[in-house]
Amino acid sequence: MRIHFENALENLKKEIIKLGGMVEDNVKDAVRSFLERDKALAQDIIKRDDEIDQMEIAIEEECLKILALYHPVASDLRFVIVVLKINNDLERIGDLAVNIAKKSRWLAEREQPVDLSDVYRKMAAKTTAMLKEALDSLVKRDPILADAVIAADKEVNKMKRQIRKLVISAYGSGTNNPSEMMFRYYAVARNLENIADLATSIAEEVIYLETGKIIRHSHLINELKE
Amino acid sequence: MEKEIVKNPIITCENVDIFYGNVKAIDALSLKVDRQKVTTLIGPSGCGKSTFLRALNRMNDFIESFRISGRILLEGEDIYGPQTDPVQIRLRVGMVFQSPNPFPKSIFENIALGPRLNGYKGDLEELVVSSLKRAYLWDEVKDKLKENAYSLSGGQQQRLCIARAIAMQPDVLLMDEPTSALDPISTAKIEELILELQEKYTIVIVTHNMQQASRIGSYTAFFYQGRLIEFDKTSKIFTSPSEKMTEEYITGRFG
Repeated sequence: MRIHFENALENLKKEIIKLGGMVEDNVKDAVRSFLERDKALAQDIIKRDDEIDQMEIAIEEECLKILALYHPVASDLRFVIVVLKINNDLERIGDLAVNIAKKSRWLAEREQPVDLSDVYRKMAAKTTAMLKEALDSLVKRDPILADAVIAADKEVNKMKRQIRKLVISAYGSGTNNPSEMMFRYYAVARNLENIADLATSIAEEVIYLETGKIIRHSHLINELKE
Repeated sequence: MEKEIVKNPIITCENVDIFYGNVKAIDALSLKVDRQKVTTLIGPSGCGKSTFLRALNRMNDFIESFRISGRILLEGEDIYGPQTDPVQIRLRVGMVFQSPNPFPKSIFENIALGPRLNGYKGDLEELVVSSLKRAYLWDEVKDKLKENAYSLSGGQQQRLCIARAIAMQPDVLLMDEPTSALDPISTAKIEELILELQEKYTIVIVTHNMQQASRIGSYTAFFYQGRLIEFDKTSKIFTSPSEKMTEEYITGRFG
């Protein structure tokens, strides 16, 4: 029985890592479609999200099956619960990549009155790095790496506030239809920030997986290091 | 293993060693049993959990090579103390066994016999009724109290044994795998009953069924090779045990 169960867990691990890879690719491409004003790429991302949605459902069903059939306990239980939650986080990150792609598509068709590519590039690099490291921390079951992801979230929040100021000052002084342009342009930064939040949530779940401690809404991280 | 999680212990074991001849069955056990809670004892066969359970009401006294050191205190009184009467201990600490073992007598007599022999002064009939009700058996047997207990199903017989134990109004009920001989429906009824009984009694139960331990236990103690490896709240044991060995046992990696 343990062998079948081990296989089921191993398979679940492979699937969630695969989903993580797909979502990571979509986020990277969404950022690229935005920075390079690439409509075709944006379109492609929107299409690819269907696969992510289907895979999310398949993983959820697999988790429910394992819970019902094997009644996992201790670290096995934590693993299945964590996969269930990360699965949900990844699907939402996939949706945010789609949101960015849709804005990229719209913005690509219009002349850009201001170029904030540099700050956006920095924020996107930080956000995608957080997502990558959050997924790495799951693969390696590394709470220290997960901790670093959580710490990085503050920087992304700061970058978003910086972009807000820049967008307001750039668009704020009476160009043609500035408000809609401003809104969509800034919304990309908000989507990136949300992705960083979800990467943080994945990292928090990895820490729970490894330590059994729920650190959400608290600051036990330093205590954990000791 | 310093744990202050048991706030109101009814039984306190201090550094207990148990030997059968030269074989050490329990090694330096210290454990507190919380009042009106269910404590489950788990561990692979031969780990000492049943030996420990039987030590709590001196059932091991009947084994010639049995020897114990350390102290087991029931409400502060050493149950192996020189002044202690084992019969009195067994009245206060009842036992339910693995297979139902009713007396070959009527359902009524199964409950009434013990109290009558011990000079029960109250209304015997009332005691039989209330014990059967508390064991959730009354509705099923109220019309056939004169019938032989063997006419009952296995699950009903086991509940009769529990009714018989609680008729003696013990403080503590020990149960040694009380559902291992029962089907899932009877098992569910006994588990419900155990959860109800903790309102009045302290229960210590040995089980090989991990899910049963997680369903009914407030506390879980994991034994291995005569040693208490881990003791904690059941929810902690089954979500994030502190000891690697506990983890391996409850997840089925060994044992």
